[in-house]
Amino acid sequence: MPSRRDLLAGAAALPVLSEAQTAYTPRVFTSAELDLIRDLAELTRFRPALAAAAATKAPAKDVITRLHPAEDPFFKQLKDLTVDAYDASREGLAQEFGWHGYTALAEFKGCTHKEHQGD
Amino acid sequence: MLDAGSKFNRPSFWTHIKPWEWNARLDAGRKPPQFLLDLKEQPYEYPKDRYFDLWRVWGRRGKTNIWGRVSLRYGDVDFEGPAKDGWEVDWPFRYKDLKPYYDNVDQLIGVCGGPEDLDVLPGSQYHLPPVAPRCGEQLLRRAAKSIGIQMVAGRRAVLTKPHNGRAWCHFCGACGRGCDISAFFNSSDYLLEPALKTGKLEIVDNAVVAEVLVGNDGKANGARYFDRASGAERTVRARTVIVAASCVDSTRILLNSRSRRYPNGIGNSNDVIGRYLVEQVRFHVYAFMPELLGGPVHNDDGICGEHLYLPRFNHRDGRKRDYLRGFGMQFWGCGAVPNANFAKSLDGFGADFKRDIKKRYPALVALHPCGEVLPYRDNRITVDGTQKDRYGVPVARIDYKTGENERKMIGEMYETVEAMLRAAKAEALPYTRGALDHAGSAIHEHGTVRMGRDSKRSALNGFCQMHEVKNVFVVDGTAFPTATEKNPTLTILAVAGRRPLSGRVIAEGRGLGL
Repeated sequence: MPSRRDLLAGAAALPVLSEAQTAYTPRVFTSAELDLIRDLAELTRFRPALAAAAATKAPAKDVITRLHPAEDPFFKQLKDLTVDAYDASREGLAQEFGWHGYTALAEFKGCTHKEHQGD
Repeated sequence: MLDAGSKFNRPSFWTHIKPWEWNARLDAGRKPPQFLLDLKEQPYEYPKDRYFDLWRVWGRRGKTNIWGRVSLRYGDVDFEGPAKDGWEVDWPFRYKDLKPYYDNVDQLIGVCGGPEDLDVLPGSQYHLPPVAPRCGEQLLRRAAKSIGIQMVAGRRAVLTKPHNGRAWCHFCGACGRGCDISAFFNSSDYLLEPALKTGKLEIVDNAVVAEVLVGNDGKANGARYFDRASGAERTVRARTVIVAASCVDSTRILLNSRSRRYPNGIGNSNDVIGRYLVEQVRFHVYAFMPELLGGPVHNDDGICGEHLYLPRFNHRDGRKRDYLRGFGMQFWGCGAVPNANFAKSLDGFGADFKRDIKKRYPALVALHPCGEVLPYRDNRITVDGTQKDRYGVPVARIDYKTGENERKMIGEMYETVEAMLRAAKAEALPYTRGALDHAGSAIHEHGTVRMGRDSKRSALNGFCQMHEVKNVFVVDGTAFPTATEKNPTLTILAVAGRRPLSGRVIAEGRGLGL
């Protein structure tokens, strides 16, 4: 199983991979994505079902929607786990979303946008 | 003073630890400071169908290690409420009586805030400078104003400039983990440490009080307690006993203080203590402000929690409601926060999903209305027939539910949130109308040893002194006849500062704090 660092690096790479594949419709999982899904499956009690999904070479959206429609509890849990893990990572929270808190500041300026005032 | 815990070691706080560093530390087997009391050590009970969420911190500073720091003065709209609408006992004083003590507290602990002075939220000439609102809060204020609702600068016990020789906030935004420089009020650094320096205070750590002891004259003369480490039983004697163990534990101690003279617990001959437990009702709605979607991400930490507050307004328009009392609103968690939990409520997956999250991340706003719950006689804390803790002392049982008044108020709370979001043209995350937090999750338990002029319907007079046992004072939120919609700590401090309590203990000495 890859390390947590590798796992997160894989997740961080997703937008790049996806952008590169926009010419392909439908797109398929990259090996990194498959690895990510497989390893996330290790974290869940749904390992057999996920492993089956990861082994499928069908287009990604077709696989996901067929095997795990949005309301499916497994799909929801996988998605929530991904959010929890990725959004607590440096790659997700800081590098992708831009959070740079828990840092000592000399001052807090707050909203300085004139267009937001109006009161 | 008997303290059920010991001093938390400030340098050990994980204050500035980023989320990924936090996880790495946990993976390495390290543990952050454990503020919350382990339920295995001190359980509590509740009916199977009525969970009550109880937070307790045993140790120096108690919950002020990690509190929300919201510091709102109660106004006469609050103090006169019971007298005007007739629901339960009146407060034994009014705002003018408490104002000097609010002023003392503001100067002592440092409260930042704006210039607003409202009937429902009296102002203070001692406020430290307010903190500027975040973009999302500013846009919410604009939206609220457009529908006739006023939002004001938040009032928080956070030092926004040097105060009484203390360092001021550096806006790291991790206050809930304990402040590493003590830039917000906590009862240890601000009250106990200065008191210790006088040489007149002795603190016994890890002393879990079982009961207040009573002499043949019917007066309290000390306390029985257990050493938390060894389990040894001990007693200490005193001329005056001051109980401030937070609502549930203060009540538990008093109800367990049974003697031939007081078979229902000390000072409880009229079966008031333990009853009229009040908390607050609240819920949370999250949304995205259109002006901020896809925009730049700022450091929105500030002083952590809201920088603006929406005071109660439902008494202003003259329209009679079908419920009593009111609600306010807070806005913690607006802007860039150290998670993207909102993503769990978004549809989609893959790259599109990530783009959606990133677009919405800087635009998040959070609305947290908080409403008053009326005091009901059957909402109560008891110790009869409950399991016993490791010291053989009965634990607390909390039996609490909200009523029809609250159900009606919640309707207007939701209507207000929806009106604000409509005015802001905001995109709301899915929510269930009528849903509430668990009972207890506002962490504002009140009322179980309430003040009042009528000694048959209340346990304390206006100075937190027991009607029945004159040398016992109860000075936490238990003393409040009503909860109001506001956070209580500032008022707890102001009420505790009223004479004759402070004068009596200073004059007589040998006061015992629990």
